[in-house]
Amino acid sequence: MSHEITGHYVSVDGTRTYYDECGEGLPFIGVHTAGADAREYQYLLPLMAQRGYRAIALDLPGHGKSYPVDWEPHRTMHQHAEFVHRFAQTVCAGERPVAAGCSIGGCMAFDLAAHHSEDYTAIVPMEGLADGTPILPHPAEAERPSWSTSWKPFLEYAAIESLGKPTLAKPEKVKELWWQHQNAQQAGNGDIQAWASHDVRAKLGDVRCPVLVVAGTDDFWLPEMLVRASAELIGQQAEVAILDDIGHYPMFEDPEGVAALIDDFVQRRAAVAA
Amino acid sequence: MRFADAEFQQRLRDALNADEEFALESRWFDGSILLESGAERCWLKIYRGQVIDHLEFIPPFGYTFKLTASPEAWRMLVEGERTFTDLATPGSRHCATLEEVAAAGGGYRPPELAIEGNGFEAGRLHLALLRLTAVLSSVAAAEPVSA
Repeated sequence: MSHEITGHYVSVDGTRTYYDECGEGLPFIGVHTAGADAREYQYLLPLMAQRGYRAIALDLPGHGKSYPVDWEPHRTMHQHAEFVHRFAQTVCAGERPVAAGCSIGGCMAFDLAAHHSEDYTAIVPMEGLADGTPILPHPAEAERPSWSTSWKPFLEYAAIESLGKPTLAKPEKVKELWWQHQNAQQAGNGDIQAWASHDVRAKLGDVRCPVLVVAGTDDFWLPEMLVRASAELIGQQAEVAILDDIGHYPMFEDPEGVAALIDDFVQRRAAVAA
Repeated sequence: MRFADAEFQQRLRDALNADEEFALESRWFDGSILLESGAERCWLKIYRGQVIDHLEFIPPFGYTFKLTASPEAWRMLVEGERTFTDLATPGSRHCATLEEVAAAGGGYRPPELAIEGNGFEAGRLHLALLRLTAVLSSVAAAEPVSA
């Protein structure tokens, strides 16, 4: 069976939305980080397809080849998460996908767990939190010239420098990630604003699917303490995986390891939950 | 790393002037950058992508902007323990307890490496500053071990 990635468009909320797809089976949906696009999952998708998944990664509205909804960037995590949920219901109608996300995608995964957990086989927040406020200032400030005249390079290097040290030592991978953050200046700021106001801590007490919370030891943005505090809110449904030598982009830095990690979790926990 | 040491400053100046990326990113800048580590200072006058003067003190007309941090923060930067973005971004990411996160000013906790002075110019030179700190790290790593 071929595991070639193919590109597709679908209309969600009246918005032309792009996604990559690879393989057949239980749907797996990957959500990218702030200011980036589905290319962050280009190495993971074929590996998930090999393991029997219909592996999908979308460009969020205003990112990559997807238009923004009503020509405005999303500025809250719930807007993003609800869009992802409607995308899942449209592209995977009648099925219960595995939903994964990284960084803001990880925060969206927590939001999906808070609001729609019964509709997913498993949810995998990577490098995300149940609340995003304490780790950086509110990025709306970054749009003010008096705060910063360098939002775009700041965002690009905020991405690059949070790679795990082994990947940070590979110039070609650093350049690749840099290019993945080139086309979402306004949307990227909206993404980080969404991070700063995101808080679903009070809504995680009744999560009805297994949740795998993933974080890398080299990611300075997310202290392990905060990652574990978010996972604890979910209780018995949650597992935590802390990955050595990995930074803010597990699916980009170690796609083989992440594919094995997620597949193992789904096999163990989703089978029990079904 | 000894900011106030004349030989160190000269090596840093030479290394910056040999760095094509620093020259490219700072080619439209006519100003001065102060590097400050505790009480030690390194003032760099930059014009058309080259460091044309350096001092171990602040001259009467000051500086355009400065990068200021504790010696420990500079050590973490040049040894690769923390990145420039991490050190220069406000926020409560390196606290020991959740209580400390809540008490420390949240996302507005001051950064360990502060950029002070003319923020417009500092922002315009963001990529040059990243390159400056990379060159600084290389020069520090090549320093002779002191007794």
